[in-house]
Amino acid sequence: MTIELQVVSDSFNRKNLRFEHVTNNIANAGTVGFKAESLFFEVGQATSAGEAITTYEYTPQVRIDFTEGCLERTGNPLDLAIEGPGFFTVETSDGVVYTRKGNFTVNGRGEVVTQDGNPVMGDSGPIVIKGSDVEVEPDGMVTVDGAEAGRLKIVGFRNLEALERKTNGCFRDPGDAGAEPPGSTAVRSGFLEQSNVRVINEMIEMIDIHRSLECYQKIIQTLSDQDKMSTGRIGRLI
Amino acid sequence: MIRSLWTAATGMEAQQIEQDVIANNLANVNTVGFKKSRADFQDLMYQVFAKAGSEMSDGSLLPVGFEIGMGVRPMATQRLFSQGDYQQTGNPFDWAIEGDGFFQLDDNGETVYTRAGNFKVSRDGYLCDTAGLQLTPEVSIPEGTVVFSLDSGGTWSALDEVGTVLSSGRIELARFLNPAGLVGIGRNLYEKTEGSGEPTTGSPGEEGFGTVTQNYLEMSNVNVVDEMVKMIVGQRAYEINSKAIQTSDSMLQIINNLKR
Repeated sequence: MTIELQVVSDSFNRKNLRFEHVTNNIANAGTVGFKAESLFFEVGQATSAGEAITTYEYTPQVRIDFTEGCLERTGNPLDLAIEGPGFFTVETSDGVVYTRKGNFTVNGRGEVVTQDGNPVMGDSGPIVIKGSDVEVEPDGMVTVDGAEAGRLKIVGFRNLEALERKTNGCFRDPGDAGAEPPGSTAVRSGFLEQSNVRVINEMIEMIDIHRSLECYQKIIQTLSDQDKMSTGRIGRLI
Repeated sequence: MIRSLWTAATGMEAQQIEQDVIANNLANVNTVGFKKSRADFQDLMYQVFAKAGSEMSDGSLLPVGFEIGMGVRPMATQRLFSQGDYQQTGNPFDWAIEGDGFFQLDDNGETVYTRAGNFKVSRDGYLCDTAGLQLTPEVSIPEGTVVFSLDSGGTWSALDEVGTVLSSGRIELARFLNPAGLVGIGRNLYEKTEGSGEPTTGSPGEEGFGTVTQNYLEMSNVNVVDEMVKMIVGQRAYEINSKAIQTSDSMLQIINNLKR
């Protein structure tokens, strides 16, 4: 009896964890450059207890959805979006990170930086803008008042799944993501890549989780009723 | 469970701030020289339960990690200094900057910056903004001035009725490396910060400075259609976050009802 209850309550907890991912996706449905994530469970070894019940080992894994979000036109020359695969390279205090969140600005020294102030890398160090008329070509070349200021370093990855998620739409390469020059990409100036969260899917997932929990509740209540009956009748002769 | 309640709450809070920014933009749709803002959001930290590459119980390596995000937080409001529309007014003291640059005003010895060019003549005969802050370098309008002219390069002259030049000069504009780093102090004024860098001053039309146009005003750069669309998106996002909270609540209720 206790094993059955355990199985149901494990399922209960798994649905709960999924729900936490759903809420995080929904909370970031309006965050520029956000990549949705989904939780799934890899079914591992089966262990048999007694005759009827087989329990499995579940390993939770988070898969990040790297599909492109749609582009929103802003008209701001330092709002950059990447069409096709690839990431901007950003230098932070704990190493190089990669992002598709391109709402860049400049700091007091004229360097192109992310909104939290980390410099965006070009092929040869930070890109410094001194002037007013900034243009970014599709190949990532930044020109200021007609003069070239540097080319944005765009990096692609062979194995996107290996990327580690950092905050603020950034990802870190733990070493086995396989950085490589990106395929066919184009940098679009004056556009921002929106969050790729699909709200409908999240809504449906939410309904699914909710109803599943109701179902588990009924199972647990039934099991508990059975327990009550058996404990109540033990030792009763008639 | 409790985590998702708070996560969804951060989502609602973020959308609330988005609406606050939009409301301020819309409120200033008719403010001369107003520059719109936009809220920037960032996903919060992730609670990591298992790192990718860590060992599982059967000895194999975990191909992908397991982490839970904690929602969203507003990070910055960025001011967008795109050009506003022009409106012809026919007033010789209404000036618009076409291109880069700010007018400089003297606020008790400190220089503040503005794009609003609706100047007035003060009691002692100098040009000032609506609040009385004097334009620097000063523009004097002597008594008896009938015609005041300003060319696109910023050279101005005040003439009397027979065309004698009473006073003349050239205005200066200030430019910033990073205008988005300026801090708005209200009354259409901006103050420099470390983020904006030190201003460079110069004459209109030279070295990347914009030109000035007399008899025109630069209106607000708020685009009502854009703001409306953002408002709709924000409202719906707010709604779905509230649904997530309702669902969390209802799930908690289910858990509570496990034991009858």
